[in-house]
Amino acid sequence: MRNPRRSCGVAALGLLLSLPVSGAEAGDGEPPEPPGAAEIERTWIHWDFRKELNLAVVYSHEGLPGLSSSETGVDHLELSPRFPRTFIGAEVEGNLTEEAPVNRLLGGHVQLAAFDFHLRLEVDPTEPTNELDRYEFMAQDFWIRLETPHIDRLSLRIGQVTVPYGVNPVLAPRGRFLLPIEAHDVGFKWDWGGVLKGPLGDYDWELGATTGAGMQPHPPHYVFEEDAYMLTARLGAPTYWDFQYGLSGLFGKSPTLMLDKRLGPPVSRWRAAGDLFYKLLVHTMLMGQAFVGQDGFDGDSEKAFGMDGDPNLLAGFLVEVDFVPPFGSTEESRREWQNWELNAQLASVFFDLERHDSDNNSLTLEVARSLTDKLTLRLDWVHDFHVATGTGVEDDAIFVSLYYYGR
Amino acid sequence: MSVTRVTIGVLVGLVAGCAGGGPEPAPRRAPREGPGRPAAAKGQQADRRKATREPAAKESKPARQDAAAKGEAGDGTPRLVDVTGPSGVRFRHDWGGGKLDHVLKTAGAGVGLGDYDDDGWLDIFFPQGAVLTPDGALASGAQPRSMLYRNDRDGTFTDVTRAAGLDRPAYATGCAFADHDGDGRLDLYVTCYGPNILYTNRGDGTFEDVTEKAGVAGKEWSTSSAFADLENDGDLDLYVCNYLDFRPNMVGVHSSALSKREGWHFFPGPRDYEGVADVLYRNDGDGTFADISRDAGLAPNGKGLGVVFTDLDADGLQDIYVANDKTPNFLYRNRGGCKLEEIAFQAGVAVSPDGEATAGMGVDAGDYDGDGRIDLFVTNMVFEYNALYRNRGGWDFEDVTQAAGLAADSYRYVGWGTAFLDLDLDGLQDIFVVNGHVMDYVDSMSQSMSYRQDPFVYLNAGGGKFRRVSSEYGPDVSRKLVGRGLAVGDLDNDGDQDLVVTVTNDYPLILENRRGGSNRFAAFDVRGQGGQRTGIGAVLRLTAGGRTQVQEVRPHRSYESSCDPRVFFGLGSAAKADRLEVTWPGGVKRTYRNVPTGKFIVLSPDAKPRVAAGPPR
Repeated sequence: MRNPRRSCGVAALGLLLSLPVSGAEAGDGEPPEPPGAAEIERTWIHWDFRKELNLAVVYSHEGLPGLSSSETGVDHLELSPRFPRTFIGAEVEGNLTEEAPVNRLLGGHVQLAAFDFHLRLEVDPTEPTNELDRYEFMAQDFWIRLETPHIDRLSLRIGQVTVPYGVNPVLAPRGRFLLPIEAHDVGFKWDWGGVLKGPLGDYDWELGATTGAGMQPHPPHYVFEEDAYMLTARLGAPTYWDFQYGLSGLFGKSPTLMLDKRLGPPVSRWRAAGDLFYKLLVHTMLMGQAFVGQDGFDGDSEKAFGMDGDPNLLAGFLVEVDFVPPFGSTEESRREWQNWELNAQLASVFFDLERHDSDNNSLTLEVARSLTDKLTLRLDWVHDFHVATGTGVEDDAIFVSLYYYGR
Repeated sequence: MSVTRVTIGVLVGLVAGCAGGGPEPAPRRAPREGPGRPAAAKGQQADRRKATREPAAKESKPARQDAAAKGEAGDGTPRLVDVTGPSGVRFRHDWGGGKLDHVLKTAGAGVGLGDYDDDGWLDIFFPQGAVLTPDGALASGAQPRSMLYRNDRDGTFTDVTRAAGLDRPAYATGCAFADHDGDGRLDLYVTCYGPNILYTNRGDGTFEDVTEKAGVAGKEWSTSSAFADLENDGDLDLYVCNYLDFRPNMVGVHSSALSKREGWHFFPGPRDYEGVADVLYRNDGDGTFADISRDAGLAPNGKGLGVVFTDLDADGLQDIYVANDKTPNFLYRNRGGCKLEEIAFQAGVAVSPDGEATAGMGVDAGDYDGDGRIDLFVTNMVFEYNALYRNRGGWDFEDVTQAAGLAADSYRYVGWGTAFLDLDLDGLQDIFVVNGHVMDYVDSMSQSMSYRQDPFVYLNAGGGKFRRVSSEYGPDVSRKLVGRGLAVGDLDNDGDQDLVVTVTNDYPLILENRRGGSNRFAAFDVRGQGGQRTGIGAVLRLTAGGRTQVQEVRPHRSYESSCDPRVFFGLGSAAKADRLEVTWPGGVKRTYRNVPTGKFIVLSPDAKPRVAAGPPR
């Protein structure tokens, strides 16, 4: 006899996942048993567990930034130090109805609508191979989402969330190599804290208050001792429109982005940004971002990377094209072409608008191929050019990654 | 050559004699004897129901009548109230067990409303999924079954599946009630992943599987189906939507880069499979059907999910609109003689305004703007909007979704079952849309979308505008579900249309329409020619309060679903309908004057109108 409910015993998730689960039960071929009561108990939770693996290597013409010459020389194939690095990951996500016991406890005015706990164990090739520091936990989406039935589209995410600054992803990226410009500039797109999102007519507003600590799960003293924080806000078109645009701002104190794409000591920052996104039919997506801002405006400019001690204005922009070939004269050939995805991204950051040699520029071309439901192979050529004096060297690097994401 | 006759009848006297004027129900037709309904005196039946249905007694009809009259809160506020629990319906959709790991599971199933025992009360049929082997065959061992619920006429339903002989295992997806053999009884066509099934109604509460003889099985993944008399020869032909060339473990098919970008991370999406051509069957009038898809001119490339027969150019011939998933929609103009011309692009109803094929799901037709022409509405996927196409005449349609106020909400919803209906009986066609995402993990990937989604209730505000009023109809209709099918019909014979929503891999939602206010209705059970149980394709033009409304007998619409074949007109405060003109397929026309409100009237081209059994409550 089928039991329409199934228990899940993931103790670490406490109340959430120790509650009965249905909707994913195995079919034993028998009709469901009537509940018997006058009221019907509907499925109130769906949850899922996923596995993730990324193998990422890089061949760099000028050697790997961040690695000492004693560890690697030039012209070597190495594990990639750039995000997404080599990692294994696990993700538990789910969504709940208002009938979930936890929501009954919350009284109906606030509901736990969804959760996503996504952790990765990454290899940091910039650390010596015999050190435990070479392995570190990272998160990309680790949150709960609260909603209220009284206001449509109002939600609060708590945990590690996408900060409301710059372009919003249409769907949360998984294993993507190309990141928005805040990853080049501020250093991260995800941060720990909370984001409140709500409607303004057809538009969305978002307010974020986060630690400024970035993607890694830092211990509390990091935040308090370093005095890092980040306030972000965005007003823009919702992510489900073909043409999206938004204005956003950032204010706070967050770690500087070091040459090896790691984070240094916090520095005061503000940014104002605009972003555009356009989905041209279904095969082409165009994205553009631009920002202006300042690092070290609060008397701490000496910490700002690439600065000469004065809190000068900085700026940057990014343009990106994502294209799936719409070719093929038959359904079969069309489906074959749809396994390929081409990307091009140009990103520039001017660390000091008063200096002509303060900009870093990067052009990335990507070819991706879907191999199976779960496997995607990516090849990226990154051309760093016109690199600001003292911030690095011009370089060409080829990144290859094999990404697995499955249940 | 069709014969046109015009008869003018005055219905007031007839109906007044039957009405009784009081709250007591008018006499009902005695139930038929059969395995599902043993012969019994009315009193005995009532006693039996009282003895066996105690929970339902708490929701007894008179009590609910009071609530209906006043609105749930007693303030005239309209409500859509979840009565699934008290109804006794315990069907639970089963997508075949396990996780959501292929597109067949996420497509769900529809629901059918039809008065199979001809007692004047709508019964409910729920198509059920099944456990499949990796190559798509039915797994051995016990399987979940589709279920037929008989309306007990007191707000409760009884499972009569086995007694009716409808418990054949199949991966059923949709259904259509129709009198395919013209014997005056509603038969049942069940679409499936795999061979479809045609059950003929024996008239004793049981059905007989006549699929093989009729030749309408097919072998594909069929979704929606619809019956209509395509060539006006007096019998019902059959259109069957076929979807994807799919098997659970199909070698060589995987989620493409494009599909992954759209969120299909764990199994292939509809873009990754070949489509399967739809099928058109001509009813040869002897219990058999002939596949005339090629001769009729059906288009080969489509991924059909929704279909509706409707006469879009008022030429007396049934045209066909098909909602396709990720391929352009089809609009077939009926040229007569079983010849169809596909003109969706020319008519402007094939793709979105920017030229992209959308993910069409459910579809319905109705005259939302009161201009006498039938318009089209089709539900779509996220990042798209549910499209309302205004019929401007001359096979020219205009996408008026934005202007109508229907677009903004639907970008983040996946629409499925849908129907035009006059929810508040004000004489304007409202719209109901069932929503639910296709990916059970979308909450983790999107800041704006959720797997469970609340339905849309749009009231027609007049002037071509709609207003979303879901929250005004109470909390039950704002509940987030993974909705799929939708059938609308008057389950309790109180003159307004209730709703049955199917939920994939879960219990359905039965919403009773407890309308507030005092708007009146006129309802018609239109019979077909030659003893046909339902006059599918008949066009009704009703004039009341200076306004003329047009509706068709069109039970097969929405998504994989079959609705109440009766036609309901909201009259607002009008005490009567001044004029009713009915045109049956083939051209027979009747005109009635001074049509009373608040009654179910049986109209037939071959007989005088009469008040139906199963009276207004």
